[in-house]
Amino acid sequence: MSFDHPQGLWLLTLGVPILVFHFYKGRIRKMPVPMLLFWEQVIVEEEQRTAFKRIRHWASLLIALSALVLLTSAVSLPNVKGFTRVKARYALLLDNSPAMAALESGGRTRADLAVERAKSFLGTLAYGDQASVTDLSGTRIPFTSDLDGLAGRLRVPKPGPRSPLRDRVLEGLAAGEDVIAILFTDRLPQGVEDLLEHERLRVVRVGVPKDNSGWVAGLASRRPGDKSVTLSLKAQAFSKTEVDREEVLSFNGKPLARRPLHLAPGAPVDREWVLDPTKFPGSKLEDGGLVEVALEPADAFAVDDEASFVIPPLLPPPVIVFHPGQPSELLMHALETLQSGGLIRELNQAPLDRYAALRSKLGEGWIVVFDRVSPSPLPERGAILVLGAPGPGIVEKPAVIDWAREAPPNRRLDYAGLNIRKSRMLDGEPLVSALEGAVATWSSRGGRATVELGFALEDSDLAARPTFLLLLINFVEWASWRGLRSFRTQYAMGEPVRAERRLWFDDGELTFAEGDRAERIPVAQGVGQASPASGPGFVRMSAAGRSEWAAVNLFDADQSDFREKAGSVAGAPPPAPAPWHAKVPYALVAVSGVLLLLLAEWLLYQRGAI
Amino acid sequence: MVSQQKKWSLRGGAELPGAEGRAIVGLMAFDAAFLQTLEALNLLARRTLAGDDRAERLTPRKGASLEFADYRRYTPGDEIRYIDWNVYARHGNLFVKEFTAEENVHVSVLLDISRSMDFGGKFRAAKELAAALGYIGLSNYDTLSLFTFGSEVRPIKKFLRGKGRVFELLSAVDALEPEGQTDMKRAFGPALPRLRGRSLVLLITDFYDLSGYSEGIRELLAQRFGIHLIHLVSREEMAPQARGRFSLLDLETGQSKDATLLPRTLEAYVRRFRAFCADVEEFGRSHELAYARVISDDPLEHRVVEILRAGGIVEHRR
Repeated sequence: MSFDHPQGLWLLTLGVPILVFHFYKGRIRKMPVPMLLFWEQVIVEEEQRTAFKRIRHWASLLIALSALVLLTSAVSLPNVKGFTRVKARYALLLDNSPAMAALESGGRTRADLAVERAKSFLGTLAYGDQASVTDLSGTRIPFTSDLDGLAGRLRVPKPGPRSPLRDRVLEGLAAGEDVIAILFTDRLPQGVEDLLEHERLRVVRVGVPKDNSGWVAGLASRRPGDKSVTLSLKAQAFSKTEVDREEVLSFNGKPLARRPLHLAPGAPVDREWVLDPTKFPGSKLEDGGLVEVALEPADAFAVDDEASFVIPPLLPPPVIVFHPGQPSELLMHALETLQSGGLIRELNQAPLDRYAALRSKLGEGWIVVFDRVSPSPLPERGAILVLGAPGPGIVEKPAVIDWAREAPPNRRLDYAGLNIRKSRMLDGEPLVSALEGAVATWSSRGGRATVELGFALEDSDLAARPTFLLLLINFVEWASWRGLRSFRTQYAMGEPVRAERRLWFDDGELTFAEGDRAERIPVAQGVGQASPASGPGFVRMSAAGRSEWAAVNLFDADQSDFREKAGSVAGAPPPAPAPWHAKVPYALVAVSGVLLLLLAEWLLYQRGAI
Repeated sequence: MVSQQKKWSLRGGAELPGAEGRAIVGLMAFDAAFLQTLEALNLLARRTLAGDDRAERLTPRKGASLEFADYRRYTPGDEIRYIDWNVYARHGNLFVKEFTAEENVHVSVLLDISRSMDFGGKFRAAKELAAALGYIGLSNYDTLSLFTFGSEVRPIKKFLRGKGRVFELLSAVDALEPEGQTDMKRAFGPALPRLRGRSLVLLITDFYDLSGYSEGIRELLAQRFGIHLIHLVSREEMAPQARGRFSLLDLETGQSKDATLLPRTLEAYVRRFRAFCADVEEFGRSHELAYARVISDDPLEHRVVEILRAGGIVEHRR
């Protein structure tokens, strides 16, 4: 036998004063009376009443000691093997995969049903049982015996990245050998067959198998210099019958076109939309925006019926070159080449003394090149290329030894054999490294992308190489769109929408808005302190007068497939509900027993038995 | 000079000078105001009682007191000095004035000293009552005798007269101790010592008599005593509070009985005790005897003035 609170056993020491009092009460005291006759008359009547009075004294002691034992047990909470119920612990796992957003009959999602079943399950547990709740993305409510409070805290989890189920189950079971994991999901789990077999994991299924069709893949692509974006999509029907739906193309919420879609069972179908502004006059596609391809009519799983994309502006950016008096001929020649190739819209030049007047007009749409000059401050927004700015730390003939091949401006570039007569050694993220230090750096944060070369074109043979033109093309492509973004344009549903680069402000709050839902995220030193998961659809991140959009898509054939999988193991059913008496706190039962005993004592007292 | 408001208290028969030369003796604590109250009281005799000596008690018989009663025609042999010459001058007939006789009464205080009185303060209260009533008698120039009784009557003081004997009375009362059993029939069988004429008996007892109190009182009635019944009870015996297991010990007989006192046992006892008190009162009423039930821990003045007056035992002097 064990006790939850063994210190409560000290209450048993109260038995000593009870016994003392009992024998004190039981002793016969002498009482002088002036005339015994009266007493004899009434006492004879009294003592003739019942034979129970012979044990009345001991009945009182028995009641008192029984009450003490009950009270002690109410405090110490004994666990007697084979007699008291062993307290159970359950780790409740809520599947928060996107498929749980599928609608079931009654208009509720599988996630709603899962939460409802979880609450019902908590209601079947015995008093003293403990439970924890974890969704499969790892958000966890730790073990508690306050089951009502836990049920009250249960909410439909946000769709999240579905980490390996087995890991989550094992995390839940790690609390002890007695823990049983209960998974509330819409499909039989894979990879946990051993846990199911040993009944450490039980599955509560919500929803029923059904047919579905939707987008299972999607990509927006654009070649440098192209004035169109190509959407490559893949649709699939998960059913035994053919499905006919309709694609609806929308731009910034306005439908642009629609076409029928015929899906044969099982086989994915590739679809493509070319977003050419000339084919959609008046649509302002060239400004860039939000594109959505929806499948109609809607089915029970709307999540995979919409493919969302954020497309860049299709107009090439304007360029302005600030120079000390005359621009570098090599630079201007290269830029003119880009302009003739349609990669830049217009080419401007101005001496540095005009920079102060023009600075306020240079926004995110501009590429600003500083040729052998470096004013302070540089523009707050836009793409900035600094070439051979004067300053300390000049090194003669630095030897290039490496370059950042993953950096977007260096895409497909090769700096091997680059000759530099002299260069300044730069601080920052190296783009090109020499033996003595970085001769070129790059940086990017929300709203501003910068590449700086420590040497002028005339001090190296870079301009004579194809590398330079490619560097400019990369820079224009990257810095006029992706390099200015803190966030990616595409996220998978359930994936945390996390900024890949520093935000455009250092401290404050960033607002995530998705449909009619908004969430504020604290930002410190340009980094968001949380990353909400969301989707499907568009998410807008805004703060300090600037915003970025991102598209969130499911694009997961496994999630869209609601058909029953072959070979799945159901395992043991969930534990049976505890009997009603197990839901009553033992302490309450024991204290009630004490009160009943005290009532019995009082009744015996009133009836003259004690 | 000690103030009249001062409370005098003496123990063991010692004396203290009091106001107007009075002294109070014994355990009893009488103050001057209470003594004045007692002096204003008279023992009430329901029957016409005749004593030997003049006293301050007015009787229907004509006597030689200073209090005018009536006129009657002169007859030879009447005292000439009682002729009202003023009436003779107006009417020409001789009338003599008659005065109310002031006669003393022989007051016998019969004090129960059985052991049953030694319970709940009854014995002390009985002694205080005996002293107070004796003081009233002596203040009225009655002849006072003090007897104790249990199973026999024992004279303690006989034929005291005058307030000057009060210390003697109080000392004697103070010295009394409870003893023996009550047997009124046996005690009152022999004639009580008495003076000529009738006597007033103040019977102070708890009426606990295993052989029955009524027979004993009838013996006194047969001796043509005027009898006042003063029934002493204590709150402890009226409403006992003890609960649990007890060995009940009879104070008089020494017999004991084990019993568990329960609420309903106590209720039954109380009913029984009330019935007993009602019996005694009914006995007194049926025999035209004054009856007063006195609770031992009531204030003495209340006991004497209120209860005994209400019971027809004392009255204010006219």
